[in-house]
Amino acid sequence: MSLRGWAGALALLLFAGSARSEPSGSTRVPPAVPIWSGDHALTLPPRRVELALFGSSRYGLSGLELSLHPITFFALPQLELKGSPFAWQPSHVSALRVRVSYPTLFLGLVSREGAGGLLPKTSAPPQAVQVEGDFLVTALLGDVLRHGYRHLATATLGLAIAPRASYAPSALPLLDFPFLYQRFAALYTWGVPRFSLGVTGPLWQDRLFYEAKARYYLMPDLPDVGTAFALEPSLALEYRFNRSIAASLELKGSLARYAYGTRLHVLPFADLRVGF
Amino acid sequence: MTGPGRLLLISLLASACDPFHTGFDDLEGAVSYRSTQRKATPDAARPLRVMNYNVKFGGGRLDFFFDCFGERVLMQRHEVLGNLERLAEKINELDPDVLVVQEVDVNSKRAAYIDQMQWLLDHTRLAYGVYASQWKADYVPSDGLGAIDSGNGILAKYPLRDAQRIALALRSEQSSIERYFYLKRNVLRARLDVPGKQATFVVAVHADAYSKDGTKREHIDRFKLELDTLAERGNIVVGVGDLNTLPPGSEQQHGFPDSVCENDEFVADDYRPEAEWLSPLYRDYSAEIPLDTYQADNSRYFSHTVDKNGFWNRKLDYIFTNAAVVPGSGRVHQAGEDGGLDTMLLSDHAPVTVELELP
Repeated sequence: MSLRGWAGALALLLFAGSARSEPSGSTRVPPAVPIWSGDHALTLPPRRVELALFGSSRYGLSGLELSLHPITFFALPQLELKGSPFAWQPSHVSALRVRVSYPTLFLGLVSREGAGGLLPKTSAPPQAVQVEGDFLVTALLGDVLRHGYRHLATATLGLAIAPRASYAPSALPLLDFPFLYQRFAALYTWGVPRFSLGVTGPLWQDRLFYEAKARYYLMPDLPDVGTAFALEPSLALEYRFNRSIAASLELKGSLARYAYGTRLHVLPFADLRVGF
Repeated sequence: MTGPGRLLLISLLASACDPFHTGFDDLEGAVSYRSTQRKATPDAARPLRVMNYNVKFGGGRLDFFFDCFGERVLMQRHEVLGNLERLAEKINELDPDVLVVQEVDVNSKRAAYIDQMQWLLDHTRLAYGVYASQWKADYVPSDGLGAIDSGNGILAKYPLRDAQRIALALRSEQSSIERYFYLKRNVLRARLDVPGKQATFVVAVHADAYSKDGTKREHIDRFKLELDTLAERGNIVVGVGDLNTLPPGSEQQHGFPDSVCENDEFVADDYRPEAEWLSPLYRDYSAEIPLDTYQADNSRYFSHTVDKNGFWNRKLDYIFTNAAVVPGSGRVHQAGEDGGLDTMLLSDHAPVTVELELP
């Protein structure tokens, strides 16, 4: 794709991010806002801070949520913004999420000799910016008046693109390490469309929460592979001790088509979140 | 639980225990191959020509990082195909009935994911193949290697049956995480069906190269045990391999001029403690190059060097058998003998051939 093409795609994402709608009978004020962030269209309450041990940390603004990953930030500079410019409906809410990252630094760090060398040390990753945009719709399920929203079912549709300087194939071999594969695939093609379905809610006494979701990535025209896919199902349990501390266990899977075949990889994940 | 649910659960558990799929059973079936085009089985009246060739995953003489002559890790598809074409030309020139290969890649990122077993079958006069992986991982997170599937293969003009992969001991001196991603060597065994001839087993091995904990000796001993077991049952055996050690009585046993690695991990330069490790094989079997012939002139039978600008400087590749060896038929093809393709640029090993009279 030409530079003009990349600029056009970027403009489309930004335009989508600024679009608003205000249908009659709707309200800008949610009747109940989840205190914890999640992969749904709701945003954190204003001025709430959420720090995670391994995951992304977040900050709530009015109708917006800022996110970055402090541990990986210096290797993979990134910023994510989620906002809900659309009106709330009694049954659902929509949002847009845009993430911008600079992958060149990370790719350079993993191009090394010895352990941790995910790419040959002779690789020369091109200058690139990765832009990811998702449109999220969350259905609000449950008895709103008595309990607020009990369960949230979310569908997302998005696209990742990576405007970049041109490079020879030997300068950046395909990074097909499981889980990173789908996240960096946009560097090798025109774009990576993805969609997801997920549901989250309380299991027990508003303390124990579940989240089940699956995300599908379509990765067209990858080197050595052709058109590939990745399906990431995950199942998480989180215990929320109070409004300030939550601990979670998650099992993530990645079923993906690689040049050497289709493989399933599993990643257990634990995290601790502190919010205030 | 329903069938698909049970299958998913088993897949998840297996994936969690062996997340990069590097493991093997102690004994498992080898992978079978056929040439795409059917080929006529040759006349069994003439001697059986056996060839041993470490093909270095079709890497030719590119300077790879582990040789310490260069930094190359991955190859482009056209490079691999070019090297394979030259290997196939040499194989066709020598025209073996049985070819045993080491370091043949079937699904590796470094070799552009070309299935070299199938490619060789489709570009030579060989029709049947069996393969046993000795290094398999969805991703080796070191040096940028990525996905790998490399191992030992037997290719033949005659049908190969009952092929099995027998796991060899793992190196004990590595950390558990290194061992998880490291090579898991094997003995590959298959029965060769030559019409009208006694049951013949081909046994292939690629012994450890760099261990200093006795693993290499275990591999050689296990290889011999397999030959002994089959021979005691009245079979003809042909043991073929890159044994990564020198014949007894080798004049030079250390200080090779092509050993330029400073990293101990890739240094195999001192064979003095191994001087007699092959004596039992030479004692109990006929070798393609009789030991006294080798001892009379070592250099004529050298089969390996990592320096393409030098000359072969050690013998690591062997064929042992309890069949009758056609006298004088054993050769190490160190150059383009008889006007053929020069072997120095095809691999870091020279091919070895011998002719056998099967009863």
